[in-house]
Amino acid sequence: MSFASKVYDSWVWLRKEILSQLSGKIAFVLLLALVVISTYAAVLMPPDYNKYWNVGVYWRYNPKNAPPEWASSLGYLCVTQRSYDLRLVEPTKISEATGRLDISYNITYDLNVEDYPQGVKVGVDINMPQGVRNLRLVLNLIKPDGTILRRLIDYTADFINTSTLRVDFDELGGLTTAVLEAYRDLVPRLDVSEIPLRPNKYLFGTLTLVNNREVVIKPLPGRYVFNVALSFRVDEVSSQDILKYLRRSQTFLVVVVGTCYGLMGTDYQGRDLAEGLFYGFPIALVIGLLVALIATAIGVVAGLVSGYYGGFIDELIQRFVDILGSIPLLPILILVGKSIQMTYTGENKPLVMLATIFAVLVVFSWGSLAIVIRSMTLSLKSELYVEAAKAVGASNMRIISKHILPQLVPYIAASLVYSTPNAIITEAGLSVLGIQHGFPTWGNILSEARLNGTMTYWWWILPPGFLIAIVSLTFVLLGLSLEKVVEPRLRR
Amino acid sequence: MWVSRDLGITSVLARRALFLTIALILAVFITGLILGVTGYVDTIINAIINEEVRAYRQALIMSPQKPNASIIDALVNQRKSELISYWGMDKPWYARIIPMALNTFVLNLGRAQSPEVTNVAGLQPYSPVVDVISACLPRTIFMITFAEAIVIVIALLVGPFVVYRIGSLIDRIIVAYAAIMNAFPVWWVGMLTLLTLGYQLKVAPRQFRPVITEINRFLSGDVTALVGILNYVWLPMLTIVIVLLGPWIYGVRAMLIKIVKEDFVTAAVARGLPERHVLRRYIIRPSISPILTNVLLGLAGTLGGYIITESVFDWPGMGTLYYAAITGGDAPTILALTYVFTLVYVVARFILEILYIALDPRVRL
Repeated sequence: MSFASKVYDSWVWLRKEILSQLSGKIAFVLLLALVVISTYAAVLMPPDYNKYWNVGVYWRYNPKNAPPEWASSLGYLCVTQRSYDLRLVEPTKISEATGRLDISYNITYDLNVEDYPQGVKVGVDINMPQGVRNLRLVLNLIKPDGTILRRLIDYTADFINTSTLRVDFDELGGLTTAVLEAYRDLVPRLDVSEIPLRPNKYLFGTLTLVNNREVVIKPLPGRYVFNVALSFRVDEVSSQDILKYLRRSQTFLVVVVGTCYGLMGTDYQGRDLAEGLFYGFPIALVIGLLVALIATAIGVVAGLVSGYYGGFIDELIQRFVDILGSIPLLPILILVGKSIQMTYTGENKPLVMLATIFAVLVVFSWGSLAIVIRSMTLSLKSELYVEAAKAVGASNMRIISKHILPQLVPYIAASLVYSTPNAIITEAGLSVLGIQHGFPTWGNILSEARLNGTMTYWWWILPPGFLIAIVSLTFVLLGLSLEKVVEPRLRR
Repeated sequence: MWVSRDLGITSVLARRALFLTIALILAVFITGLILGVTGYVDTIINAIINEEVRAYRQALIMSPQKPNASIIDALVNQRKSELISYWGMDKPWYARIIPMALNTFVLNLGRAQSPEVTNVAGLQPYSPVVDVISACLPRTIFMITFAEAIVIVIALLVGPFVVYRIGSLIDRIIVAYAAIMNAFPVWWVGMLTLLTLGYQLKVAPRQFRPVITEINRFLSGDVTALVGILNYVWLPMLTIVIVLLGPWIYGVRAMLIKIVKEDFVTAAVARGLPERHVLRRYIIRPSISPILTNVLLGLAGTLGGYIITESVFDWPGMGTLYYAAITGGDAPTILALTYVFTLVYVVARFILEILYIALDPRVRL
């Protein structure tokens, strides 16, 4: 039998033994799920994902610090997030005159809870045909009680040297004027400086004068109508032409920013946590498996060499393992990570940091396996069939690969399984301390929760921890069932 | 282990002592090397010098004498070179770090350089590192070492109880509990208990730095301060006990189980010896070495092994101190703490060597 088929046989046997136990079955299902999700995420992940993740602009339409949408069933007041793609909306009114062209859109938003949306944002990235001279964009809001806030946005762009217009309205510049105009009789009692600070209150609230002294603002549920009015100055361009261009634009969007978001909520930058957690799967698995594989490989080779050849090389390896085992890993790891984070300024910093943390973890994690493999090798070496193989002139390589290594497979598998979650948990722990490399790992999401949020954002703290725990649990269960293979006395 | 019969116990111990000392020296030198080679300490010290020089220039410009530009430049340059020689930045990193490491070995630890480090300790800036460490050490012992000790005591009581009932319901529950708790990092469960008990239910404190005053009161002889300490300590201790108990009971169970299935135990039970007697003489006695190893190394590891957990609670102990020293680039404190962490571990291992010889007659042969 060849070496490969011997290892394969021992793997088939191992798999059968593992699957015969309950913990093994659970572990197997979990592992399968992890691998499938990771592969799916790895295929979908954009190449520069860590850059997207860290650029706030990319997430600007999302609510910040928002719980998941299903949190409404936990008693959270969830204001729905609505995003209106005006490219797909039919204009309510089109009017043409010579040299002038007006297109206006009316969109409705239903506020059905007693709370304010986080805000209103408009994004425009359009191309205009030849002949369009300028464009005035106006946003008006009609509240359910009939109050009209006029010219929340009033923006004019001309197309003399350019045919594109790209502008994002994250704040509504005309809000103060609009409020003062709409609530003229309340003006003496209004705190004007507060309007730009809490715009959502004035957009989605009802203002009432109490006791003729102070203005009280309360959320105003009902149907809101946003009116987006575009007026063009044109030279012989038809409205059909313009509409065609509008429909082909990159972005033409009105967003009412809610207070709940998606499946997993958002963080302080409005990043979709579901997305970050999803793309964290392959990273976590790669970190864990890579460290475990390399450390196990080194441990096996060192243990085999140490046990099989003995003598000076054995003494050297054993002393080295001894000394490494006495040096505390965590402090050194934190020190290395932080030093690289603070001093490395070159390219690919996230990768360099991860690689360094990898390297330190590997250096410190192969020792214990080497000791186990060495003692196993020592006893296998004195078996009669090894002596016999030696007597007929088998080479050392042949004896190791044919007679010794296949017997070590369960131990090697157990070591692999136990060191995988260690690496994942350690990486996450370093992130939580603030040694962040920039990849959206679960640890990184947790650390942002600790450094930038308050501890009350449960949707931000619980899921990454549970995911780390599920991955660890998979390997712990796998280890438990392997343990019974390695140590039959543990069985009932 | 490579032990010749004729070497004798003393030389075996001497060899161990030698290698453990080498490990100790290496740990401190590797730390120094990382600090120096990466240029980390230099970056921090340069930032401190630049900040002081900037402040000095600002003070000169604002001073009532209104010195002219060339005088200011001259004074500022003089101040800068003073600072550079004070911090030793006119010498290469090894000329600073190597003497610092050597001084660490003779416990000449110097003064803490970063204000954040002395802040964690609750002392004045630039206090001696010895004072800083001796302020933080009892806080880690009060919390983490005690918690681990509680876990160990419970595990040693429960372990022998379940080892007779392998496969029973209680045994299955313990194994499942151990598997689940093994999967959760202590620091994350810490975040969880802080979130629920501290922030949501508001039954636990959310800030743990004030424990400094309580512990100081206790150490100066005020026994009533114990109540105050308990008020802070129970949440992190509870967290550690909840998480570590499972794996610890499982570990003790696994160590005992190997012995329970041995023939001599079966023979003892068959002879009708009472359960307690079998447990004490036939099960605990042979498994005492691995159990002691885990207990001693576990306790020794509490000083430097819970840096992340301490940080999550902002507990002003050795772990938080170490992280503060690293973020502040405080080389003397970092070296001293590495020295302490390694020393405690190495001493524990050496004590174990002696205990092995005392407990296992085979080693003495």
